[in-house]
Amino acid sequence: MNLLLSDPFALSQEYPENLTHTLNYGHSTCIKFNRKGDYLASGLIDGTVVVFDFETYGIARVLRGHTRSVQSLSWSRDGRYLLSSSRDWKCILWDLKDGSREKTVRFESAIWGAELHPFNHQIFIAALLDDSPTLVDFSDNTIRKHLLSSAPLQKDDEEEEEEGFQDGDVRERKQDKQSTLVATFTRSGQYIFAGTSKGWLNVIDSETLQTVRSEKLTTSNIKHICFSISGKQTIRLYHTPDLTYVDPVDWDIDIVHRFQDVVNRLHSNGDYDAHDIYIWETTVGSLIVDVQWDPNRTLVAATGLDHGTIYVWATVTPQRWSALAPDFVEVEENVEYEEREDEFDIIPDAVANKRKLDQEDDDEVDVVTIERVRGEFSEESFVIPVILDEDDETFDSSDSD
Amino acid sequence: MDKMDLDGPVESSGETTDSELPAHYGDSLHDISAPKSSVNGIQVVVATERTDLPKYVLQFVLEGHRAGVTNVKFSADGRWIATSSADKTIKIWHADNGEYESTIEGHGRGINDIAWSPDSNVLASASDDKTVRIWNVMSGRVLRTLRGHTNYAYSVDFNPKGNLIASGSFDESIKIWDVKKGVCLRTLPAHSDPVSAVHFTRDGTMIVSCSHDGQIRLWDTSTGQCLKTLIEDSNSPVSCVRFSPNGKYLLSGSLDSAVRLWDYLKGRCVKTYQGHRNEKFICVPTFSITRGVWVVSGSEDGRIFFWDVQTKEVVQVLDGHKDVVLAVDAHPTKNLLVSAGLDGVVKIWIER
Repeated sequence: MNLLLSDPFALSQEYPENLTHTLNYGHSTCIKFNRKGDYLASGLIDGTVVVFDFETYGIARVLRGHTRSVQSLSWSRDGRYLLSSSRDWKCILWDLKDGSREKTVRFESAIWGAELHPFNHQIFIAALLDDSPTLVDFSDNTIRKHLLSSAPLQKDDEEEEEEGFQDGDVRERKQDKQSTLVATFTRSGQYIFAGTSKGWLNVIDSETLQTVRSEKLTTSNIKHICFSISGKQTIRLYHTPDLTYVDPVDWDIDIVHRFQDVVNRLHSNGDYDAHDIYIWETTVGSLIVDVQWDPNRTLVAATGLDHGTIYVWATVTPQRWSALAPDFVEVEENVEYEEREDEFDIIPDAVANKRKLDQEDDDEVDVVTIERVRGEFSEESFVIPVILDEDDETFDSSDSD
Repeated sequence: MDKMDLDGPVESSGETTDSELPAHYGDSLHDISAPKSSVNGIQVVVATERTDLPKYVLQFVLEGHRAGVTNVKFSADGRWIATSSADKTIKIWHADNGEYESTIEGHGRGINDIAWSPDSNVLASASDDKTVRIWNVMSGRVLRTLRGHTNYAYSVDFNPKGNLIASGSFDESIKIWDVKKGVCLRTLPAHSDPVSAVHFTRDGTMIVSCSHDGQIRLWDTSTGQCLKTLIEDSNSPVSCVRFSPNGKYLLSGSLDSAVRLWDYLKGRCVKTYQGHRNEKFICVPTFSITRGVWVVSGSEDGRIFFWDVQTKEVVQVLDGHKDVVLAVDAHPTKNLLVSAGLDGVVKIWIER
């Protein structure tokens, strides 16, 4: 509701420019905002998952369970559940109401990443190192795993030329040997986009689990797929730093932009927002590992490789001094004041008050109906209950200026 | 600690019926400059033609505090009543039958204000000993002691999420505290006179505060910046302010015997409710929205006034307290009202 009183021009500043906070809790490898943007989950190198409350910049939950470094984090839609995958080959679904483990799923190989279905917190997709990508479903209290194919869909008119083969050798098709490195749900949850090590993008229907479409985008690994809020554009990150912004319109996957990071040919991670993509360079000689935009405010959180501290950049709006007096308004240029006819009339207090009170009778007031304010996040989002009785860990959060 | 259980609906002798009062008070109602008459001399017009008037009657009387009761609040789930008092204790009572539950002690001096957390498990209290304490209601243990104010802590409120507390103090500042860590996140240099009340909006993004300098200010919770200032021409001290249930209006009680409804986007007062007397003490006004939409406030003559929000008419007057009624609160879902005052007695009123 503070948006109603804020200066609209200050709000339109688009990019966060000031480092406002630094969060130091262990060595963070992976961070993710929840849908509303008021909690940030951070996975540490020792396997702990920490949830920060971004209203106080303090710790809301500390979740212990993994024994190795956390690979990826994924929030449920309502913000109550958090899925974490780790190098100890396990995925754990945490219930943030009390920090307990709702479900633990073991895999047969290391996990690249796992992501929850956008609407159903009991389904998730995991991309594994030595195995096929797996769709795990644990509604009905049973854990069911469905293996998905990494092989792209064959089209009749496609030509896949092998390098050459001798008579008698089994013809080895290159695409048989690729593995899926990243898999993510589309915004509606209907399809899964999977990127393979050979540069193929497979689109798999999440109900039938069949690959419906495949497209070869590049020759190198597809490392990361990320959807925009509207769900129409995606950004994909490859091994050789080559970002692609693709617009799948009616399933014609067109490559719209290619970005090349010529200067810094290192692993870097880009995040998607509006029409600009920022490739974050190193700050103090350490690599930036993970960058996340807050979905509802102009705020960016990033974690670095060497130190594992989380840096938060935000916009700083200066105090509007006209707010401190009731009649003041900020104007662009001098205004010539024209007085009213009755400006200097002397009216006895009683009459003035009566007049004021009579004016009030015309107003209709509604103190009960709740109106939605444009620009505010209005969906129900889970509030993590504050537990006060437990021992608090020592934690260092500092404000930067 | 005892209560007098009165069987069934009690026709309290003080419930003013419509017939007794003189008909027309007319000009004097609007005449602020007229000298205030004594308790018996105040005449009030009660709207008689309507059929939807509130008909609250006394249900329970809760006694036990040894000094004046400064504030009374229903819990968010509607099961409990908490009362704070100048005798340095907080007492918890059942809301449905008025039974005494427990006493919470620990403050060094009298307590000025209490606030329930949204999950109704935790209570915050502000006291003259300059601290704000957070208590576990069931066990009565103190969970956090928030130190930092340099003068009496006068008012306290939880934000709707339960992770922040705002407190206003006689040292003219507002402090925003992190509940979990128990540290002060921000100090707002709010006013130039003691801050008498603080309240969060229902989404927690803004805080409203008022002070003895006559100003009402709106603050942004996340940045701590002032968003708006409202002031009434008479500059009289504002004793209490709170948001309306939908967060679009402010209800303020000031020491010129008027309760005002402000539209803060327009920046002006849209309704004024008068008829009671409030010149020295903080009489907390509140909304009652469970059946009709009323504005309720206590008065220094021991009575409780109900006004219709739209028409500003006095729709009911309850009598029964022997001294200033300092606080009233309305139940979130049922037609219950609880009132308390300097006489140390808490009364629950019900409308069936």
